Amino acid sequence: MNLLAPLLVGFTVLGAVPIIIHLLNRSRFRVVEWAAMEFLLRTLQKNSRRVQLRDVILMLLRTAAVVLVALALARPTYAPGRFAIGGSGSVSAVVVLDNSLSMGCRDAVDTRFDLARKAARSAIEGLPKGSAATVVLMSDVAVSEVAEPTQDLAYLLTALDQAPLSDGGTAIATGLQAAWSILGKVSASAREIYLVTDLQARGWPAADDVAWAELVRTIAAAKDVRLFIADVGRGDAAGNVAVEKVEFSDDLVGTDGEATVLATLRNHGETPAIGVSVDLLVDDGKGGELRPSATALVDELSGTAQVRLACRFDRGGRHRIEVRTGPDRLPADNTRRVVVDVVDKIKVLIVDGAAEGGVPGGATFLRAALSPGISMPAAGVDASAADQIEATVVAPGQLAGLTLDDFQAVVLSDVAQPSAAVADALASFVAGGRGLLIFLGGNVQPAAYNRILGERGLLPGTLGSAPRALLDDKGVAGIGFATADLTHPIVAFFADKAAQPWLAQPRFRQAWPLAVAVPANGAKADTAVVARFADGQPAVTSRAVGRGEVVAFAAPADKEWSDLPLRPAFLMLTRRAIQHIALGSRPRLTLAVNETIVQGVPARDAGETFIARDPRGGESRLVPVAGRDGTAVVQLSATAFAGFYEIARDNVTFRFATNPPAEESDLALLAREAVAERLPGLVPAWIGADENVAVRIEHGRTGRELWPLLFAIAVACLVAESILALVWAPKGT
Amino acid sequence: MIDPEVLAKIGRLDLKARAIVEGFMTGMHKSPYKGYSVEFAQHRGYVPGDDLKHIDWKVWGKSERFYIKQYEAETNLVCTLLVDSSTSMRYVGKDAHGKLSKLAWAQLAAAALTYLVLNQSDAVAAGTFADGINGWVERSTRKIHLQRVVDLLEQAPETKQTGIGKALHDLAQRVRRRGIVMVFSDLFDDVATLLPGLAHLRHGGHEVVVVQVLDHDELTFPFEGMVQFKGLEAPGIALCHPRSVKKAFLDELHKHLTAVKAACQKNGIEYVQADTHMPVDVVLSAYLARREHMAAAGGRG
Repeated sequence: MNLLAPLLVGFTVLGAVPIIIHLLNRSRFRVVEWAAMEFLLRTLQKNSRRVQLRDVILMLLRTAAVVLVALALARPTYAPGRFAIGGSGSVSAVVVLDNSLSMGCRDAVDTRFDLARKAARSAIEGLPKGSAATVVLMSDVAVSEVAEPTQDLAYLLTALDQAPLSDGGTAIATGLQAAWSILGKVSASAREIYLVTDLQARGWPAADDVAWAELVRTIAAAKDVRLFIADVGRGDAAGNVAVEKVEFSDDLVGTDGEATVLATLRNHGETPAIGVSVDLLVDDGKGGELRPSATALVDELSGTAQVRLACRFDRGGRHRIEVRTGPDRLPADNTRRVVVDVVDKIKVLIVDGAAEGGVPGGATFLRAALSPGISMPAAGVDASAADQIEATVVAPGQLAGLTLDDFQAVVLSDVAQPSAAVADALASFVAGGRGLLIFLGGNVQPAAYNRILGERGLLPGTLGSAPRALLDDKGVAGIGFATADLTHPIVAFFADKAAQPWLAQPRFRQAWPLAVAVPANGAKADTAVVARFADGQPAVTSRAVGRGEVVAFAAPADKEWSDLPLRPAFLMLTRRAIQHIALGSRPRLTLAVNETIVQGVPARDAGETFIARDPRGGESRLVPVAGRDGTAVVQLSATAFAGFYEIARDNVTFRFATNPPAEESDLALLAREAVAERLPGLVPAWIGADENVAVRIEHGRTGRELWPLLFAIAVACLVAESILALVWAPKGT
Repeated sequence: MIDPEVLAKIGRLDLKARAIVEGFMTGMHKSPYKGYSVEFAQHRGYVPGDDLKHIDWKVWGKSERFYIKQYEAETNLVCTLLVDSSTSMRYVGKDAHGKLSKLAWAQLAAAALTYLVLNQSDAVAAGTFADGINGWVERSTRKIHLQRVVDLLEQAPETKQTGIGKALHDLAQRVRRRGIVMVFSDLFDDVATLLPGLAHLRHGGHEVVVVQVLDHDELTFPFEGMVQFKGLEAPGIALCHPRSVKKAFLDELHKHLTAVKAACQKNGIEYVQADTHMPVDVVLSAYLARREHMAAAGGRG
């Protein structure tokens, strides 16, 4: 309870006036000598109590009216748990300013972020003398320019004016947690949190979120903590079309043909969007500007729609592409960017085990499958240019003299027993982000493989001591692949029912048993079964090694144990396996804002300085850190803005793209009642977009002014007194 | 005391008894009884041709002159007027016509009726009462009787007690001859004591008219502000806001008036309520007109 004008409370003594008047009236009377005295005495005897009660009620109503009016003049306010005389003292405050992508929405003239900044400024300027404050920028991360509340409000206002709008999502829990982390350490008598947001629904945790509930409970239990929510959101999701997703139809994008970009658009409004244009822009791979490549028009967009856009890449390397749609009230989600590694050539080294006594043909079949142009050159056609995969066949003895870094993948085709040196080279090769494909045939020495390759982690499983015969249910030799559970990228193509017959065609008479280790306690496995035989035993397995991958076929690439090389599935499987492992564990080139960009660099670059540039022209310096496997990694975590990032040194530039979270385009707002349900025990004071923030905060600080209520009650008392006096007056006089 | 204007207004009306009374009036009254007696009124000188049996021989013996006795005609109508002179009747309200107290109003009405009755050669007896009859004049038809009645009314003693019942019983014993009995009172007494007295009067065969004279203040209780009421007759002081008890008081009074009226009706007694706010002549005129109308209706029936 507070009295904003305490001196005026003295007027409540005027409440004694009706009583004094009543007493004076009783002392001032005229005398009447009355003939019908008996009747009067009898009347008074019967009605005295009722009459007295009525008189008391009327007097109380009059007194109450006077007292209430006098009290209203003193402007009492009510704020639970607070008592003060004559206003409020200094406070420690945290302004949580929502700078997520949705705040860039322009509902009217200003964007929500403009309104929010004004509200935050008003809140800071309206702080009582001696107060301290800080600002936390809230998207899906919370950033505070000033770690603790400061009394240098001028500096704070400058920081506020410079606060940028981010492209991140909304996470109210993050912002509130950050605010409490600051305020929880402050021992001020009055602590306040001003949450300035558009109340976007997706940003609020569910009421049953345990961590959120605990945070709210903690804040609610703290004394003298007030929460103010300035609601700057308006309108609804109508009119917001966003580019929700952009991806290539193929995992591997090359220069050997047209690439298809799949762009998903979403209309978050109720009303269909008419005539939505979609433009695809691509760059030249050398950092030049993006140029239009394709365009499409969606006649009527309700919900989502996928648009196919074609483009070609003339050169390999990292390319930037953008998909844009037309302007609306939230422009930031009308563009989505992707950085893609376009593959010029995949160089594959095939080690032919037949040169050391193996069955001939495997390497030939492999080369034919991977590089059909070289294997079967057409007249007048540059074979090397036609094939994306350039396969080179060598004997095992030639391996030691080769530089494996010139290749993206190595294939061991029924090699009997790799040497330790070769195994070491292969281990480093794979760990560095390249691929190893192993075809196990009759030439393979299982013990050597288990020892040499297995100990270096280059086998997805333990090889059995001898190959086994594959018999069907009737005991007839020859079984095929299982056509269920085809989720691995190498075989995902065959998940389509139209393609499954091809996978079912090959027949295997023999195969090596591979025992794949299952990790205990649900730990993430680095090995996987890519495909099984029809009897359930692993047919193709894989293992992640460092930043690369090893894939092993339990049968050779020749005809000795199966008819696989003669089947179309052999072409698909081998090409997809090479495509999958060739570029290894590629760094994620397209991320969400606020995710950390990670780029591997040669170990020799560890300690050198790289320059990072963000989409808004900001620069920072990065120093790579040496990794365990002889590599180095450079990381950039300041990715709050959507767009293209560059990390460069000398002539090397690595490009990345970040995009806002697609869900942030859903501008649906949460009603205040629903917000209140998520804040049990913590009752916020609401400030509307059209209200004077400083005044409302002051009201919330001192409490709700009660004078209108008191005045209304006083009027009600007077009206009641008048009505009762009329009702209790004698009739028909 | 008697307003000539008042007299002029009612002088034309006949007072006709509703009930059957003894005796007759020449040209106006009819008596079921035979014979009559006369009362000596005055002497006049003998004129040749007068009936010798009316010569007063005693006067001749003394004066050796011849005088004729003149007699009062015996009438069928004896009107007995009884006026309440208790203290309660002396209340004067602010709206009383001519600022007349209830007593003064009753006195004026009684006097006017006396004049009317005497004017039509009927007899009037009158009395005043408080806790019993405290003043009385016997009936007479003589014109000068009016003054005696007026004197009686004016000199009525003020008494704080009211005993209507006792007074009515007294009256019933005094008035032997059947006639009209009119009682003027505010009847601020217990109905239980009033009823037997009225019944006694009716038992005597009289036509009884009760005129309850009330002040306008008593009928409306118009007081405002804080008032201390002191009993004029009944003891007691009450300080109150009259407005707050007005309805209850009027209800209480109304209950009493209703009981009185019911008691009168039960005993075949005519009840008239007179508000001193109204002039006497208006009330009497209305009353007498009603009586004439009822008598005419009864005659035709």
